[in-house]
Amino acid sequence: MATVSYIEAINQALKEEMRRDERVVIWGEDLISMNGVFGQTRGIFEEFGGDRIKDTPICEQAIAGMAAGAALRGLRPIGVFMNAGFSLCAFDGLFLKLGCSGGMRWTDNLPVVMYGVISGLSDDNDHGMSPEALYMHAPYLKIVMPSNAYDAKGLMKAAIRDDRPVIFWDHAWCFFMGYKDGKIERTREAAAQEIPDEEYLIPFGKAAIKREGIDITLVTYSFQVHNALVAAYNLEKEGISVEVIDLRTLVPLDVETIVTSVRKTGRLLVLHEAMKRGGAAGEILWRVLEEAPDLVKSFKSPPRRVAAKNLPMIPVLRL
Amino acid sequence: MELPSKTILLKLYRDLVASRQVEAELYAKQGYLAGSGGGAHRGVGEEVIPIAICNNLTETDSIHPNFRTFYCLFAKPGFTMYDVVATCMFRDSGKFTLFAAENGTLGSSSTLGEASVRYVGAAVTATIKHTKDIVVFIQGDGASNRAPTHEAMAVAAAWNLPIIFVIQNNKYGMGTAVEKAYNIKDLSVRGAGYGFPHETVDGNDMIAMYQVAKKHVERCRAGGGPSLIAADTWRLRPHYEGDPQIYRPKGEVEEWWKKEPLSRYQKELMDLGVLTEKDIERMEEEVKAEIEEAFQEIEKLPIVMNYENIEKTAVAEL
Repeated sequence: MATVSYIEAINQALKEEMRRDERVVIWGEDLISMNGVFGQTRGIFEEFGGDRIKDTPICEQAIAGMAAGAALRGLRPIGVFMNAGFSLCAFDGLFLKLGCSGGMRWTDNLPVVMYGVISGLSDDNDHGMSPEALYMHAPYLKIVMPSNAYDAKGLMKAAIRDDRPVIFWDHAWCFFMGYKDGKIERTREAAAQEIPDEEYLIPFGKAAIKREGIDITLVTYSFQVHNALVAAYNLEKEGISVEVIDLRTLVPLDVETIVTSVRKTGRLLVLHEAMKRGGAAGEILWRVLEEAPDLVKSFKSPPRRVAAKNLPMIPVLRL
Repeated sequence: MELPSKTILLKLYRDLVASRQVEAELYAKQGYLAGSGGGAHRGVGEEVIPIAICNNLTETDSIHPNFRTFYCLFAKPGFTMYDVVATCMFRDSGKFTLFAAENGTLGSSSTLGEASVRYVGAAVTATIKHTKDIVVFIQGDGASNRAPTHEAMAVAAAWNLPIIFVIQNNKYGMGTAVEKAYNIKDLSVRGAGYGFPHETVDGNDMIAMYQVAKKHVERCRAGGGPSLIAADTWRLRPHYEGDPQIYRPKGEVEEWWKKEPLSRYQKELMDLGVLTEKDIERMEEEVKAEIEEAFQEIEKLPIVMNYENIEKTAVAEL
């Protein structure tokens, strides 16, 4: 076991998969020149050379489209948008093509990972927004949003080995802070985790129960897992026992774990950072009701969601 | 430039005849799919460009044919008339001609131009895998204005990729004349901005088109990097069948039918003494028989569109 930061965990996943399979290549914005901004791609150029990692011009449509083309010609590309919001420049390629299976045909494998970072609420819309709900609508996209270093590594390795397109959004706050002892600490230590020395993968569609509880089920993902854990810690002092579920992947969605939990607690709250209208919470609630319609009668209180208001972020005109 | 061999000249002629015949058959037989109003986007008169290019490619080279003339793929090594007919009639021959990655077709895009970046992906792959494959990306003057095309060219230029961009300039982007969508007459000059060698060619002149394609393909395969060809042609049909074409000046279509490439090439070959009346008759019959056989054979194949297959692979219920 070694203590590994979130960034190191992603970096390890990329390097291990690139060593394992020479078809794995990565390209995107400033991967060599700036180590992927946060250091995710540090050392990859030195180890693997310029065929395996490439800095693209600022061309998001090309980052996405080239990945589709290269996958069809036998590579397993990872395309990197600096920010998740920038992926919207490539929405056609991601949603209409990869998301609806490469344009016309569904039998070909499309082993593509599209990666980006959500900068969070401190930034503007373009950098900070959480666009996952837009991609959830596509029939062929799997969507991964980890909350911690351990999960990020195992999920990234699983994403690279998946034969279908995967959208992988990291949250920048997870790089620098995390839940520790009842609060969120802004230290790299709080964002680091013990990771086994041996290889591991985390399968998609398996949520993690981060904290067990009996009074209410709190379902969330990405950085909000840490806020949920803080809330659970504080509520415990008031005598309310919260079960916190980290979804890890939005598609596929682990409905079973949520239903099992809600059968126990009788209450459901879904939390996400993205805007409320059309957000993932509505889909999650309905999937739960479709899976277990009987829950409607046994809820101790109506299901609720906590999400961002339907408002743009306030632009920060900093230098 | 050196004249292509007689064998090549006749192969190009046969392909041109075949393209005209198969297009007419497909249009007639697909009618029920599009309803009585038609709706087909026909490529009559623009066939020289893809045929001349396909005849310079290998089985593993990649090509994106302009959507109007994708049925001309039978001329590319790796594909047959049977595959083209099956694809266009929604039958599964095991080789869906517009999406057979091993033979270099990676689908297209109805949001015009988006496919360009996908084909750049094929060019990148050739450099990473160190193959000798090249990519030819053909699209119209309308699609060439779209954003992805520019990103495709920017990346191809930055990475010196083995890809040839071709603007099949048929003078109309849907209903908008090329003069209204560009402030340049020679569309190939756009290549200069990317540092590409670029040239314009008469895309209705089979021999010139073949020679230009050959030159660019050889250069590209030798590692010369990307280039841009603007091939002038003309859209003889409406944007879609049923389009009232209120944007067309009177008499324009009649003028261009006089310059249509099949009869032009036929005359040229006869003047060169390469082609006789007898050859023409024989080839037309051969091609007709080949196409008839293809239409009969594909009847035995399963229909491609099958929602059971789709549901197996989608993550719709995840």
